Amino acid sequence: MLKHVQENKSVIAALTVILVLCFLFPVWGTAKEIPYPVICYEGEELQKVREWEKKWVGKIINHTNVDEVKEFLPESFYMVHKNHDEFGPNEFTIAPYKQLIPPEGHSEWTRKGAGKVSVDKNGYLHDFVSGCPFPEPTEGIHLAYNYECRAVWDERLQWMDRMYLYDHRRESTRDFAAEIHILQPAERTSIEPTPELPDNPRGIRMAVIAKYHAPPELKGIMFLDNQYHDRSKEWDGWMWIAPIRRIRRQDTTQRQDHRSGADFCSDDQNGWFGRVARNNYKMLGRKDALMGRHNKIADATFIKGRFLWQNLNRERINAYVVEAVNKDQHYMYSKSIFWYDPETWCLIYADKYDRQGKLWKINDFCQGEYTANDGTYFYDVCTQLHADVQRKHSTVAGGGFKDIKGKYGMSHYTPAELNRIGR
Amino acid sequence: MGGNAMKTIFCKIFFTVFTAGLLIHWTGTGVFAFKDPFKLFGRDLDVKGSLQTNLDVRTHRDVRDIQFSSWKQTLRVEGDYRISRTDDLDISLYALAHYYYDFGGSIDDNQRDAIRHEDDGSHALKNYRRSNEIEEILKELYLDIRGRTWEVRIGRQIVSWGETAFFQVADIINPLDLTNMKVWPDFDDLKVGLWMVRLFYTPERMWQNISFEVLLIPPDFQHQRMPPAGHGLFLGNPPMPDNVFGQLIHHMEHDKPGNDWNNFEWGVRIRGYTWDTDWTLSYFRSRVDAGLVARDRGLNQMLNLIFGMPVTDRIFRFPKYHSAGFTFARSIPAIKSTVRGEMVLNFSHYQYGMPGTASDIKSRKLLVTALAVDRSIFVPWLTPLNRMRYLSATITWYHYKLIGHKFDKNTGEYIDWGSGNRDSSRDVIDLMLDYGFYWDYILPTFMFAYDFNGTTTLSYVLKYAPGDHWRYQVSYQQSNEQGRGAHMQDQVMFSIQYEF
Repeated sequence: MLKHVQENKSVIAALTVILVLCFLFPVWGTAKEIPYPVICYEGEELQKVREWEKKWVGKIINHTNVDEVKEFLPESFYMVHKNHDEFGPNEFTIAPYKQLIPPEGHSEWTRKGAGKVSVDKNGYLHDFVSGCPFPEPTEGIHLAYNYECRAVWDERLQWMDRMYLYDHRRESTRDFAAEIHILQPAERTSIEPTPELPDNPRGIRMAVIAKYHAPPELKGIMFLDNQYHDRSKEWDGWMWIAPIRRIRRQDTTQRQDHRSGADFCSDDQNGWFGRVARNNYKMLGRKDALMGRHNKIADATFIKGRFLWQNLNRERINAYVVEAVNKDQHYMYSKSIFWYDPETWCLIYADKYDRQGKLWKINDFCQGEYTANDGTYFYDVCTQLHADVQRKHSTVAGGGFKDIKGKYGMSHYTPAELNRIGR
Repeated sequence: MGGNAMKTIFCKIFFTVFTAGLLIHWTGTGVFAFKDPFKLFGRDLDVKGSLQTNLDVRTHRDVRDIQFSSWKQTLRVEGDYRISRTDDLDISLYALAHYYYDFGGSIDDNQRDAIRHEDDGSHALKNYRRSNEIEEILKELYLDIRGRTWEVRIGRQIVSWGETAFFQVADIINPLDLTNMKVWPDFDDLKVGLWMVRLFYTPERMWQNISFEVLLIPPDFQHQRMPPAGHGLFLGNPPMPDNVFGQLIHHMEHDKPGNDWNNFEWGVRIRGYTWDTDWTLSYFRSRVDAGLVARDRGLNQMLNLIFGMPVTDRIFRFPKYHSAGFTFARSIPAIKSTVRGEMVLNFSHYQYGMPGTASDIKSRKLLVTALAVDRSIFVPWLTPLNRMRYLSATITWYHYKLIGHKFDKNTGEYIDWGSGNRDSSRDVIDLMLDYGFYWDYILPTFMFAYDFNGTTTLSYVLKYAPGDHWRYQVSYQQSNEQGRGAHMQDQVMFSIQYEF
């Protein structure tokens, strides 16, 4: 009997130790602690940057002095500035680095989910709820998903009243204007309820309605896109064609078509606007680069004879660089090089190469700061550039954002609604 | 042409150029900067429109020896006036107006004389020359009251139901305006607006995203508009003496149903989204918009008309019918295409036939189905060279089936599809291809419709769109009719349009 009691005591002691460990170290079902939000520079690195900035902040960079900052520019961006005979006298101003901090909701959801999210062999995301899926990215595809899930205001209106199709050779422009309503029913971080709106049975993660106001023949035309939380599901798209007063279902697998004379197709919007899993990614590393941040669309100017937006600020940041190759061997680009902002995960620059391996297009996206109705700051792209460097033709777009929290529900982002509001 | 005619033409050309010049000037000074709304009594007025000149030249002359079908100047203006806008309610007033003046009779005496002789003299010429009826000028005018999930539109409206464009399947709400006599007219010119109340209800969190639409069309019957007699395109060949054809067209106007509550039309449509497929179910209770001649009563009256005897009863009937429809649209990634389809059953006192044909108005069922496939096509060599611009293609197959109809060899009774065919079914395939060169400055389009039982029509269009406003277009329309004057319908059309 004593032996039996002694044996039982051992078991009880072992169980007690396990229980104590559980209370002291609640490992199971908990995210590992990670520092978030991310900061580009701190400590010694930040000092070095500040030292460099003493010479360069406030300086206007153009073809006369761009060689001096060449190491901080993508090769293509340097080329456009250097070759002013071909691309005009483009210039930008160097501003001091200032951290971009995403809204607290985004950081909170990131910390909750850190370490739980994974990508399968097909490139699909799993166990992701909200926030940034990979706050410490180790692979190229992590950055692609971070960009897709970057901190944006969950219910916003983007107006793009400054869009020009610019033929640099003929120095002629065509004007476009659009307004875009965006709702995130899932993967929400900034507006309650988070992470998802109730009654989202189709699992939509982002719904977008874009309405054209110019040119006259496109006025009234609207597009509706639905993207899904299930990354294996194809996106859905519809178009309200105002001249014939009908909705047309769009084939969203055919995303390479360049229409309306623009220098981008469906996939090119914001640098990459397609399912992440369609590409293979390779992380090329990190690079100090001068990228557009803390800009205001009101300050940006577009001047005929110059290929790019002018009067923008660029800050030195420690960007991630990723190579993306589409899984479709006949895809229009043989490869793309994407640059990501490590603080906002925004895709801020891209080089795109044609099937022959020659540089075809460059994309440049400058970020601006906006204020929601409750005073929260959020960041998003205020100027876009899609430039065909082979044919000297560019599409530039700029606008702002507005908080439309609570203004439109899920039913606003449906084909039935296009039918209702369409003229 | 005499001196006075030349002077008239000069004045009219000057008027056209002057108006265009004013528009260019205003645009340059920003007064016509229609990207942003105007302010009218402190509220936004969004305006859009176009000024167009269109010259149609026939490639073959018929017995009338007409060269210029039309030289039409058209002003279209669309306005959206936002009366009130709050978070829960939007109220606006919308209008679409359209005015034209056709100089075709001024530059082609034969056209003018043919209309005068074959139709109702100067009155017919006046109708040909310019918009006269309010229905021609004011296409749409309605008050739009919109809540978060519902909407009411009250006034004159144009409605588009269905998925296909070339032939009407489910899209039968508004009567057609065929006075343009083009195979593929501008959509804005194609339909006659109707006074109606249109209700939408899009409930939140509805199963299968179902939404509802109801049309209530009070008695104000509008018939299909026909071109004047003497025009000679598609109808009125060979010419009939003593303006018989013109009188027939006017009898269609005369014989239309009265405006009493017996002629109330209504429709309902339910829209949903199931298994990645958009679908609609619809029902419409209406009358045939184009008059039909009944064999016993109407035909006798028509013969009286032809032989100069008194017409004592109606020639045309506009029978009532029910129309029940189903449409769907779905993207199919495996074939990189979108498939759209419609199926409509028209039944009860409905008779299909061309206006004026001697067909019994009997109860028939007509089943119309259409299937369309849209695809963006990669053209080897061309697409990569042209900055990855894909060729847009749509192919549609229409099938008409008269249920319970048989051609009677003994009595000779049959239903005329208008193409000479007497079978119980009819098939048409149409194809549309469009492309863009040089950043869509140059836009070619090809349209083709093959009727297995009748005509083939082709249209080649080349549009030049150099900037935001001016559009220059030349197109060729060819209709390979059989046994009805081949190529008499062919024409080259030149158009200059300013969009604002």
